[in-house]
Amino acid sequence: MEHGYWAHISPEGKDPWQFIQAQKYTYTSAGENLAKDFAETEAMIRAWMNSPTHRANILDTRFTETGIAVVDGQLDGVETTLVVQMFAHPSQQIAIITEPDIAQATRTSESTELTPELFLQSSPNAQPSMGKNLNPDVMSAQVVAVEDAKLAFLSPLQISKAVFLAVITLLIIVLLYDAYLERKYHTIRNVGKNIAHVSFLLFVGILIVILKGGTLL
Amino acid sequence: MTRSKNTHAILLEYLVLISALLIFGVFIFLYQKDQVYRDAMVVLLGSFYVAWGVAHHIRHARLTLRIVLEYVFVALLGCLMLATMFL
Repeated sequence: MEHGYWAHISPEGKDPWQFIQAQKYTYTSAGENLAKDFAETEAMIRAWMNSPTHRANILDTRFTETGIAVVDGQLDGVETTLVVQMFAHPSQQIAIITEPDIAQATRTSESTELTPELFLQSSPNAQPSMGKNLNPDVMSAQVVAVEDAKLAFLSPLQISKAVFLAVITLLIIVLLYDAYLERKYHTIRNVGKNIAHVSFLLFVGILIVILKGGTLL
Repeated sequence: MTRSKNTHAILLEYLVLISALLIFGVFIFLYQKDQVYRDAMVVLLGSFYVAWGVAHHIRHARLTLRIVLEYVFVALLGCLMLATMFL
């Protein structure tokens, strides 16, 4: 977020695997799911499960460990929530957690849904293996530090929806009143069709209401 | 053109507009989680609305630059709202 991008590949061309390798985490396979600006966790999970590629990562039996970071903050000056889920099968079984306060973070994540979540799971069945990577002896995973989520009265998406709906409602009222006056006074004007504008704006308003928000990568 | 035929033609034009809006609505709803498809659909929606307005006014020989700009403004407003809502 502080580097101002949301993508699998950074603007400098770094892919997710380079970030994993930078932490000296060695793996035989790895995957990444991204999500942005979902108001509810359930909606995000549903979106991931409805997307064939994201679902494949979640259900891929090769992955035995996962790490999730949920971060609230500003991206390009806009308040948003980013979620990054990494999947991997490590080359080695033992994990060394380098983040000193992971215990505290984990406790916090268990206590409330609003707190950023932090998971690091290790499967007892994981096979020591082929070693795609650098150091076969040690596997370490650094968990992304996340800030406390703040309870907001309205999410940015809800505020956008409210403002846009107010503008649309105002425009529709003006257009309908204009059409009423035109009919009442039999005014002849060469302008666009109010009924078409009202239909279009009404349609946009309905979409704004029913769209849930949130984006996957 | 008689008044009845004219009315039928106008009704047909509005039927095309409403049908297209519904189809666009379904596609935007289905692709709402995919930023690229969603934005592409929104751009297509705005372009269609301007094209519909221009075609409608050409048929009735009432097309002026001001009317084109009016449709462009309404289309831009709606599309910008849909495109920027998720930023």
